[in-house]
Amino acid sequence: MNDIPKWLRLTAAPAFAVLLALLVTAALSSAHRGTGYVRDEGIYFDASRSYGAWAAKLTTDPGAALSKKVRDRHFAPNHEHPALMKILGGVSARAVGSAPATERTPARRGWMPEGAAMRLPAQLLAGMATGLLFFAGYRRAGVLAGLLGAGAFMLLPRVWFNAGLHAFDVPVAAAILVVVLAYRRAQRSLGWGLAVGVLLGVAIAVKHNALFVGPLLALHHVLNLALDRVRHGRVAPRSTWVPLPLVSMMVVAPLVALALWPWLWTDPVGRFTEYMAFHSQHSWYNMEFLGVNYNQPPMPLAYAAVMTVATVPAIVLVTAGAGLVLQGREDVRQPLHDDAVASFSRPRPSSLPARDALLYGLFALFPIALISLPSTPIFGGTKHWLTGYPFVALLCVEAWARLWRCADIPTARRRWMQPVACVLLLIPSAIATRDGLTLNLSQYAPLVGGPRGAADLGLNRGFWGHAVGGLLPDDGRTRQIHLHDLHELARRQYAREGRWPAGLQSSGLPKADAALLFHELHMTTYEVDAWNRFGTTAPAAVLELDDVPLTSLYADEP
Amino acid sequence: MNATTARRILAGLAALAGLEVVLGGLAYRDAIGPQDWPPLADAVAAEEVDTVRLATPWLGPRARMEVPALAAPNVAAPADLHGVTDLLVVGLGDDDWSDALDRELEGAARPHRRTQRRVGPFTLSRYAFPSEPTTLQRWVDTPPAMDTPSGSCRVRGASGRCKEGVVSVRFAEVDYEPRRCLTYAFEDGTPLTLSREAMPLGTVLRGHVGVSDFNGRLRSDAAIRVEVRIDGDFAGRFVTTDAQGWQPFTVPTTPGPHDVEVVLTDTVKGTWGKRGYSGRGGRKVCFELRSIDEGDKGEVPS
Repeated sequence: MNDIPKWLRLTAAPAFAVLLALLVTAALSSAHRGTGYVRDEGIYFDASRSYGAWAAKLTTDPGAALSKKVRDRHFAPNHEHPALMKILGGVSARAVGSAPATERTPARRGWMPEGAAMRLPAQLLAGMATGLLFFAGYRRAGVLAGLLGAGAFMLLPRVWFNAGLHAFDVPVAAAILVVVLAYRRAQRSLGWGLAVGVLLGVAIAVKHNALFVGPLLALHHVLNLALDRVRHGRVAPRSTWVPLPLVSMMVVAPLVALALWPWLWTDPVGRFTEYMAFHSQHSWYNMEFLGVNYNQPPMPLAYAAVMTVATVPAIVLVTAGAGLVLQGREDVRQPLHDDAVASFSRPRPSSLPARDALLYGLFALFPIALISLPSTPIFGGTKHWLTGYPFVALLCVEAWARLWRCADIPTARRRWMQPVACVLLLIPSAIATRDGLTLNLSQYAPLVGGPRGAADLGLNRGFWGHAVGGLLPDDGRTRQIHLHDLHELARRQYAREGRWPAGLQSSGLPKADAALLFHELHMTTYEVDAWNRFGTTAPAAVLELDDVPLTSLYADEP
Repeated sequence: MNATTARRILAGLAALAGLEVVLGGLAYRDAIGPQDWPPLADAVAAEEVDTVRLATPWLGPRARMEVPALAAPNVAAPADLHGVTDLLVVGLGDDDWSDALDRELEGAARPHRRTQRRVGPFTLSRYAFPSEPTTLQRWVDTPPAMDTPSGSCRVRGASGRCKEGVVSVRFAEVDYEPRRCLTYAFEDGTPLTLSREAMPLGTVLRGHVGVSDFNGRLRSDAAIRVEVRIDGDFAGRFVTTDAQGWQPFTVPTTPGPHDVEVVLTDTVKGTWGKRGYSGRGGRKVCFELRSIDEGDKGEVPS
């Protein structure tokens, strides 16, 4: 290492992190061309076109674009979610996506289909999260720790699936990771102390999950002060009780979030209240859990925890658990060298323990705890607590760092053992994701037995109407198809991109020549409707993952 | 933490990872190939049994597509396992029975397994009920006469057209399971009388009543009354709510032809939502009745 110039040593890891981020983005963009459009994407595509048109108008006619009437017209679609990802999606589509001619716009030739272009910003954020995790791991314990951190997040089947979509779940996980890592730096830096407020504002503009970040970071700060006091008798100076990072998040973040969501500008309080009410009184989805359909409160307390165990390879969870316990214990015991003065702008100088494991543990466990509350509406999908997974990955890094440091293994043996161990820890996730390919929303962990084991246990097989690969009838004979859970706006997106069979229209079941059926327990009612309509219980085709039926096509006999 | 502990934890993690790699290798592959289905369909078709069931319920759609016997209406949407002498159970791997089949027994003892064999990745298990029960008539196969307070309904094929609406034999979802039954939705409290003269009876009339679909059930807990008369005499009254799922009832009978009459009354057709009561809710009554000869129940199982 001493032969390597210092500048190279300092820049190699960040450069590799950037390269990794780009590689992951490219891999997501390429691999997800085959992933069907999920229900929500159909709606977001439609909204993104509207938001993107506004962004274009902002550059050509800012006066008109900023008028209340034009703003509200463009941002009314899907205003129950913040605008940032949809603005980026719309801009990306205009920059690199192809689009057919419409009555009002000419055809546009781009580098990729419009839907793929709209997915690109979310994929970039996922790539960035991977790069950041690598860099954070590298800084903690070297290259392999970095790779472990990156892989323990991005190789998870559910993360990989959601990371490729034009949606908000992985983007907000990435944004929260950025905020938390910035908060760490903000303990010792005025600049980061100010930046963390801006970054939190951006995160809130991605999705409402980020609204919990400020209170959680404040809790971490309070725990730090309390542990200093209880363990070491240190009384923090008053100026650090509510330090700059927290003030910045309280003051700057709301302004940034507001600035990035033009829908709110007209009536910030009224529309924000409406937004909060929408999510706190969210409809209860149907969700199968251990063979029982839940659609009214409360969901079993263990639901989120069991689904995490069922969908994340055990080795990742156990390693993260080891990191939390081993490093968390160390965090509490860590001695304190109070020789530097803590201040409002630098509340925790390096002489005070950072207690990272505590921080990561809070952020890893909180989303699962929140979704487990009996008062939380049934959202169902594991995507709703993906925000915890980057911190699960960072806890894996903590375990890695601490275990290898304590194991005291001779360097010669460590040289081959560490790469082998790193690969071994990541292989279960990698093979699961490789197996699921475009169907990773239905993938389950090896210990559960994969998709077959999950089906035996009565766990959900999917809920987003995207798994249609190869089922769409393209025989020229089928004219009307009942879409079931495939959203009409998603169908229109396929059609815009020339990926929908010509002449095939969507219709209600009574008039349909064919019908899709996405298998979920509560969808039995729609399946028997198809049996009644087509006079048979036998599908014409079935899409499966490892033998488990995900989607069936029912059709009239030829 | 000392070095030994750290090494042990590292070794434990490596072992867990190794175990998951092996389990992943077993889980992440198809256990059934396209070539496995035709021999299964042939093997099932060759068995002479009353009915067939799947011991691996999630295989349903593909199994019905590939094995015609499993797509038969009374197999895909069964009432229960009563009135069956013998059955063939098809399962993936070692599956030879299931919780779903236990639920179909509705309190009866499990049948005895007579034979078992493998066909590719599947297991075929043949079971028999020692008492050799038989089903004499199903109303879903031969719909009865139908009457409402407005008069007789015009029955043609599998449906009856009444002034209050249509009663038809259809598939319906009850308690998240497919059922084949007489379905209808009449105005609140309107009785439907189903009757059959000289119906061949065995030792018991067995039926079920439930409500379809899940949205209708979620937004209403209204009761349904079932009243049974045999040869004009009162034989039984059952009241059930939609929350009770696929609710069975039985009436002991004297073997031979008898006039059977069932009066169904759904108290509330509509559902309750955010905006209060709506009479146009999606609630439908689902009803089936069979006459069964339970056979020699005193036989000692072999």
